[in-house]
Amino acid sequence: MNARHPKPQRLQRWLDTGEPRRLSRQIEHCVHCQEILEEFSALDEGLVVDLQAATSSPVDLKERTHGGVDLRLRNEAAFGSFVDLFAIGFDFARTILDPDLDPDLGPGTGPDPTSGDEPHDGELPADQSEGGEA
Amino acid sequence: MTPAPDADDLRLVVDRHAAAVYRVARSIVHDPALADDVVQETMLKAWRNSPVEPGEEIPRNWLLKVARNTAISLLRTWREDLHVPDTMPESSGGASTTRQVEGRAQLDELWKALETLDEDARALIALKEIDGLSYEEIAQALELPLPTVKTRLFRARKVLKDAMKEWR
Repeated sequence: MNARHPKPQRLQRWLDTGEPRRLSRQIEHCVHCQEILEEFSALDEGLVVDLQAATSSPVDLKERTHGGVDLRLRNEAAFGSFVDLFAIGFDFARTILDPDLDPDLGPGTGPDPTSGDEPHDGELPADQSEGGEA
Repeated sequence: MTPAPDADDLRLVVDRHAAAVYRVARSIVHDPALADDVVQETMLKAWRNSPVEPGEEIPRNWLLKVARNTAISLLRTWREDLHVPDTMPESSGGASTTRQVEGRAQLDELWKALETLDEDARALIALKEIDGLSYEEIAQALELPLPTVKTRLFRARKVLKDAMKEWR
């Protein structure tokens, strides 16, 4: 703590401007200066009452909040069910319509799942190579 | 494994803390409807991510921190949606208590003064002057160093005092 304290007028000016920065640092570390500023900046009772009035909660806040969170939870549950149903429907339709679907190659381009043969890298499938014989 | 949150716990959090959360929310976002959204979202976050076991009291500082972060986040979303930076929503006048308060012009002036402060300074004012938290509790709730809480609060109060001088 700094043993030499700024004059009250200087602290008052700091309250108005926040300057100089050096004084801000002094105030942050000096309990004595903080006590003076606490007194300078104290709000009168009337202003505190106005603040309370301005931010006071409505009388039905609890009921409104209970209703609001219940609604949010119901909406979340309904949306979750919709997503689940959509996913089931999508998977089912995909299975029915695209039995050969290979996610890497796209529909209809994958190897015959019954042949057991798969082309190697850089090798064309037999039906696409020239001459028809390997 | 943490047990799943119980619906009774949610009711308890709302009953105990909704008013305090609303005041912080209102001081940051101004608009009562937006403040309602903040309260509801804060309650759900607190219920789902509580730092304590079900049935135990949720720490007020932690809850107010969630409220402050949620309020700032929703306010920024509101500003981005309407492309109106650095302003607060106009109060829709939906709160019955606001209508009942006399001296509407005085309150409007107070809101104008609050609007000149940033979100954290408004939260500081609400937590200290309305909820009566200690500086240490505010520092924890807003995740600010204790000296910063003090110096910012001193200056925020001064702004309010100057703005409301004519009304005193």
